[in-house]
Amino acid sequence: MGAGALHAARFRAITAGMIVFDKNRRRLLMDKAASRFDRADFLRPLIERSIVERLCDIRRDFPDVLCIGARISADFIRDLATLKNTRRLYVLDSSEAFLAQCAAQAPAPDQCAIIPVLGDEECLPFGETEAQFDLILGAATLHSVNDVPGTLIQVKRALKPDGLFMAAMAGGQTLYELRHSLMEAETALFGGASPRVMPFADMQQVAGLMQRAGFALPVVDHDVIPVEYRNFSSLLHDIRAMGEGLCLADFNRGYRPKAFFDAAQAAYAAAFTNDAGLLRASFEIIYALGWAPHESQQKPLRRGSAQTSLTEVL
Amino acid sequence: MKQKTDPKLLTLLVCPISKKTLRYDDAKQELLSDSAGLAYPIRDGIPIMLPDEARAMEETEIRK
Repeated sequence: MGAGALHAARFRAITAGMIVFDKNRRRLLMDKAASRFDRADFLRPLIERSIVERLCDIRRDFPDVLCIGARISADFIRDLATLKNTRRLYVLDSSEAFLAQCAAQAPAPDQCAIIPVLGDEECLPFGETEAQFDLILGAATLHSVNDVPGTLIQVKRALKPDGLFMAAMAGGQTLYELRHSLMEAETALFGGASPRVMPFADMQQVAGLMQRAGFALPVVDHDVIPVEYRNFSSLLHDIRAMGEGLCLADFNRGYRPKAFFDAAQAAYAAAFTNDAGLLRASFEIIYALGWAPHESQQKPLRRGSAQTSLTEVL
Repeated sequence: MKQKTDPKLLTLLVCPISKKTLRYDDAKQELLSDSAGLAYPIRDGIPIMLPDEARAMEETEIRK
């Protein structure tokens, strides 16, 4: 075994600590989704607008930006260039198809250069030698990462001091209706349930992870976006078109008859039909924001360093 | 037409495994990581920074 093969094996062993998502399957799903993504992803403009709004609350320019995830629109790139003075936008994605699409929609090159890199968000090819980015964006990618703490630490190291990290990702309330219906159908038909919807982190977990990674002044909030579907299959169609089909590593790929699909559809309709006769589906988007530590940032005083006794004040 | 890789990007990239600097081979269009013994290909100007897609370097290629 050569040195390279050894290292590749070690890499797999490191990331094998807790494999939830099958990254190769995810790449495949993404590549398949790339061509029809624009039509399906109604969530993207909402998420992008929220990110731009949050960035505009910060009075600062971000000339060098790394965007993890290439599923961004031309409008979003233009907003970064005009509102936040972004001059160089590095885009990292593990899907070649999305990367090519993103690079093709570049605005005028003198405005903002788009620099594509194919890579894995869990092993960033940036950082440590010198701090590099004013802003790192996680554009709806971090919910399918196996090692979230490791990824966040790498992100922090690739930021300039006082650089900003902002991520949008799917949260725990996402598609809980679908999770519930599939579980009910599977239990009724086969006497047991297996995971069929990705596990998502909730807000508290994300906040904890941001703190654990050492981000200063972390802020986490969320939006729940209610969506209505005419029928069950159009919901499933949208999920696949977003490239968010199931990519769990330990996924029961056994044969599932049409009866299973029908039972899930019935369970969904029974529990989640609204007054207008449409099916409800929820998408929760978690926004996390944190800074690379810098001495100019406010910090709490050291314990026991107070000059006035609390008893004098009270 | 061969697409050029962004020159500033080449100075920023590090090996995703060892996080050490890379050597750029213009003729072969590869980024060499001596510390990890891996050569990352560049296709159409886009560096492919995935260890699974990298070529294992020969012992003689590796510069200590």
